[in-house]
Amino acid sequence: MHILQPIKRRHALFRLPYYLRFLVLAIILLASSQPVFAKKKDALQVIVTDTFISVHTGPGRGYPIFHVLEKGETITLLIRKNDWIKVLTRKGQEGWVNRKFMVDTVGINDELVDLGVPGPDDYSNRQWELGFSVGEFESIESLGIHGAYRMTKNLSAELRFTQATGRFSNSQLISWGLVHQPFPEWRISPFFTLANGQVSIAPNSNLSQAQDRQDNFFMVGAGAYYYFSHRFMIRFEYNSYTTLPDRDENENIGEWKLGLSAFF
Amino acid sequence: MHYRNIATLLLSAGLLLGSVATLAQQTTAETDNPVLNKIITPDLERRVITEDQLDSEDWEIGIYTGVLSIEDFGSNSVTGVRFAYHMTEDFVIEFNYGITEAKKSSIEILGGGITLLTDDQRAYSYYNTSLVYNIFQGEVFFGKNTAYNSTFYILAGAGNTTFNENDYFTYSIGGGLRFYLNDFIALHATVKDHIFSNDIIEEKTTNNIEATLGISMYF
Repeated sequence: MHILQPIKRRHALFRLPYYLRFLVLAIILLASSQPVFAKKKDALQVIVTDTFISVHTGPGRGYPIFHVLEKGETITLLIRKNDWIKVLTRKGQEGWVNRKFMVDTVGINDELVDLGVPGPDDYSNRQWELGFSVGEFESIESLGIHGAYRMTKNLSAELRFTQATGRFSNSQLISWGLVHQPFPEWRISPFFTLANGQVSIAPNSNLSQAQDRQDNFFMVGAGAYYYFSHRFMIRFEYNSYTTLPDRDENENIGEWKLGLSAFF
Repeated sequence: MHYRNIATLLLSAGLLLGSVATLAQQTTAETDNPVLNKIITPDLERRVITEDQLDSEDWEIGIYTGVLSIEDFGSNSVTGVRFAYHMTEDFVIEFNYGITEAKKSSIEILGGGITLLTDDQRAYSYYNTSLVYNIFQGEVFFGKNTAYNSTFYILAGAGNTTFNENDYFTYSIGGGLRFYLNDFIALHATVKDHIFSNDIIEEKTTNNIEATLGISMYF
């Protein structure tokens, strides 16, 4: 007897390649966790408490000083561009003040003003990390991006994507794992990584007989962050991959990376 | 024992030690005199003005168009997108993605019927991440009463080029002028050299010069 089997149609999300599915999920998670466009902000007004603050014509140390704010003067803070804050004076003049001078102000309702350059405190309380790196994956030049969320003081969840483009083949790696920092508040903070992921290796098109292949892998690594200033860290690491191909023997691949990360 | 196994063992030991150390730290913090803390800390906390309450303009998104000269394969129009994060007044991290198409090489034009690349293989795209340094910051004047902020910048980066249906690891160096119309919009004029090795005609390092004009928005 012929039985009509209902065709199991899976949702489009599950028909995507493995790594793309993960990416879609990551984007959904990121989008739902924080509103991208914050609501309209109220005018921020502060009072100058130091003897004077210089106002520049542009957001940079080289732009000429055209005005000086005096003690007791009330100013409105408009926008911030990296280390510079655009202010509006009572007389309607607009100019730029370096954010480090904001310690010499107080809010009109007696609020504390915490607008200084991000420093070691922000480093200790970092939650999100976003960065890119260059390196060598099995002696092939590679480029990578990574994002991490610090779940506890010592433990972060990390997602990374690496492309290593060599003369004979092109490898793309996606991995997710845990990063452990035993001393996260140290300026040089060592870390250890455990991750797993997937690598796709595509041979160059002039090697026509070779086949594309995908392997899962397990990765252990160690490295260190160096916090230098503001929101930035240099990151150096060495990772050891064990791929788990269909063939009998596992393959070991070494990788080193040097990167730059920003934390938020 | 294989040295990799030893490495894994050492790593695991390190992780364990770290966890124990953290646990110890947390325990000490909790045993601080809670009664004393309550007396000293006032109930009313002063409100704080923080960075989050102020609009920032550190991120840049933009498009650009211009000419990319692909070594041996002529010059063609290129279109790209730019995404950048302004870290400080001096340094910017920039991501670019651009597409163009290779024309015929001299060999194909003069060689009578020789075809080096199929139409699909002529598709050319690239992405790269660069570190940008604002080397000459300044103002430009327009008439007597108007001044615009501007900066010359230099950059170096790395990325990937897809051409000839292959991927090539690519270094890029360049420079340009960023001209601020106001706090939210800037114009770019950029020249960049994309350097990568290929063996389409012979194994060699190629320089592919790109000159573009762009517009960006800050948010």
